[in-house]
Formats: sequence, C-alpha cells, structure tokens
Amino acid sequence: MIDATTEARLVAALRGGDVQARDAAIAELHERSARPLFQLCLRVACDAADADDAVQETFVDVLRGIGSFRGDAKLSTWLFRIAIRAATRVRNKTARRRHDVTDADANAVAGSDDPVARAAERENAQRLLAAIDQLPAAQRAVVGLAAIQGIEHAEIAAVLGIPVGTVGSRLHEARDRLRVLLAARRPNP
Amino acid sequence: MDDFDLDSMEAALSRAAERHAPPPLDPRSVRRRLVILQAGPWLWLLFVAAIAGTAAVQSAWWIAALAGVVLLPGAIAGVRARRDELAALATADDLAAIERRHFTTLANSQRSAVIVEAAIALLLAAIAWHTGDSWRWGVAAFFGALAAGRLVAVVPFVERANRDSGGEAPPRWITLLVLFALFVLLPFLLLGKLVVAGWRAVVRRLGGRS
Repeated sequence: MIDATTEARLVAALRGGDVQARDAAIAELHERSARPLFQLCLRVACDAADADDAVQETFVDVLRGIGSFRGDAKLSTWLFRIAIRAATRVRNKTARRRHDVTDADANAVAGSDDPVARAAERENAQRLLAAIDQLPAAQRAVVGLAAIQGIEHAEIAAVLGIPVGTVGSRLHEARDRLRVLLAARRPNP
Repeated sequence: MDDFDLDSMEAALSRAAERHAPPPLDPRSVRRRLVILQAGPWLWLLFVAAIAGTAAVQSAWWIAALAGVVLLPGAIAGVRARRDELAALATADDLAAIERRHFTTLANSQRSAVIVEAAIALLLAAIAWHTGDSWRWGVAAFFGALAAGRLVAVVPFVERANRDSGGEAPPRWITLLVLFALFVLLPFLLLGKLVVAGWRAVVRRLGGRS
C-alpha cells in the first residue's frame, strides 16, 4: 500500500511543525489508504455510512497519535489497528445498523449495463454484511483485514497481535460461522 | 451454503465497497476536530474547578463541596484508569476484551437498575396509598416510568451490544430478583423495623420522664 520511502516522508511531515506539509501529508495518506480502510471498516462497523465515519475518525486519530508511532511496525499496520478501534467505536454508538453496502451503490446499479445482475450482487453483499454483523469482534476484524487486497497473513497477525498460524484458524472459524449464518438466513426461493 | 457461494458473496461485497467513493478528507476540519478533542478534557477540568470554586466560596454550597470531595477523587481515578487502560492497548484483541467486559458490566447493571427503580416505584406507591397524598403518586409514577423506559429503551440495546461483543450473558431476571429480595429488600425491611422500634422506645422513655 505504501512503500518504505513514502512512509518515512509521510511520517516526517505528519510529525513536523509545518501545517501545510502536515495537511498535504494527511491528504496523501487518505488518498492512498482510504479504500483499503473502507473495506476493513465496512466489515467491522457493518454499515457504509458508519464505515465512512470510521475512516474519517481514523485520520483524526492518526494526527493525535503520530507522536507515539515508534516505527516498530509498518505505517499501514498501525493505520489498520487505529481503523479497527475507530470502527468499533463508531459501531458501538449505532443502535441499529442498516447493513447498507455503500451509499453510491444505487448510482452504480442505475449506470450498470446489467441492472438485474448488479441488484442481485448488491443483495448478496448486504446478506453477507448482515451475517458478518453477527460475528464476534475478533472474527469481524480478521475478516475485514483479509478482505484488503494484497495483505498477507503476517501483516494481519501484526495488526491483531496474534501468531500467524492463529490468523488462518480464526479466519477458518469465521468463514464456518458465516456459512452457518448465511444458511440460516437463506432467502425463500 | 457452499464454499463457492461464500467466495462469490465476499467478492460481491468487495466490489461494492470498491465502487464506493470515500468522502474527501478536509485537513482543516480534521485539525479543528483534533483541537476540540484535545480541548475537551481541559474544558471538563475547568468546569469541575468552577463547581468546586463556587462551592468553596458560597457557604450555601457546602453540600456540593462535600459531595465533590467524596465523589470526585473516585471519578477522576476511574477516568484515569480507563485512559491508562486504553493507552496500554496493544492489539485489537485487547480492545475486544475491554469491549466485552464493558458491555457485560453494563448489561448486569442495567438489569439491576430496572429492578431497583421498579422497587422504589412500588415502595413510593405503597406510601402514597397509605398516606393518601396525591402528589406522592406522581413521584411513584416517575420512578415507574424510569424503570419502564430503561427496560424498553436501554436494556435491549445494551444486551444486544453485549451479545455482539461476545460478552457473558447477564444473570436471569429471576436470579436478580431473588438476590435483590435477599440482600437488599430483606435487610432494608429489618433495618426499617429496627429503626421504628428504636424510635418508639425513645419516644416512650421521653414521654415517661415528662
């Protein structure tokens, strides 16, 4: 997601006293990481609007905590940790989740060459999100992290602070649970 | 539900999320929010200092000052402990454990609060019925509404959050009722009986002297 050179440059700018450089750095970090963070937050918060809020909160927390970032882990690892906390916080404030996949989805369906297929895809995505909502917090986090493109089990383990082997078993348990939940919620033919 | 279906559903969810355009980030609004977050605890301290100052200056506020002296150290220690606990978080699992403990405690306390409020409402209703004062019915109704409101609006939400975070289920209502009767109601009634008997003895003795 972010190479080592860019990471060092961004961290230096975020820590520096130059407000303009800091604003530019946070904007660049947002541009580079907002999409993977949204994938993660969507599966932890289980609602698109809440996931958007969580992503925004993540960047506020980044500025708050950049002083304590020691550089032991990758910047992305640290970002994902913060995002999981932010999404959990936002999720706990919401009494009833709508399991909306994305606000822009209606436009996507309208603009599609096959609206029926898109609508079915959206329904599938919402069903899965409703099932993920039923998982315990630790499983939601691992499912969210695994959905990020290009992420490896070693980084998931670093984010969650668990052994690499546990990532696989936890993901396996989560998927088993999801199958049971989806089978129970299978729509009538 | 077979594996292929789950995979395709995951792909559908990822594609839908990929289509979503994240709202733009305005660095100035982030900075503003940061200032508010950093200023919050100081404003709270200022508020507490103002209350304590007022209590110290105006003698009529001595009760507030006393309450402050008794309650504030505990409250501040609680806030500090919570802050330290959150600052020490290293992993998302730690956070999940804190979340679990928090909601389990909350679920237990909310059920207990319903029982206590309902008991107070019943007690006040009995007093109102005994004395025949109409205003006492209003107070009893207030506590009754409080208990009903908590039962309908707060308890389900907290218990859902507790289940969600994998927390321990709260004790059953019947268990709480028995515990309440044994450890709160019974001692309260015995103490009440003791106080009334003592008061009558004092009145009798004083009446005998005069």
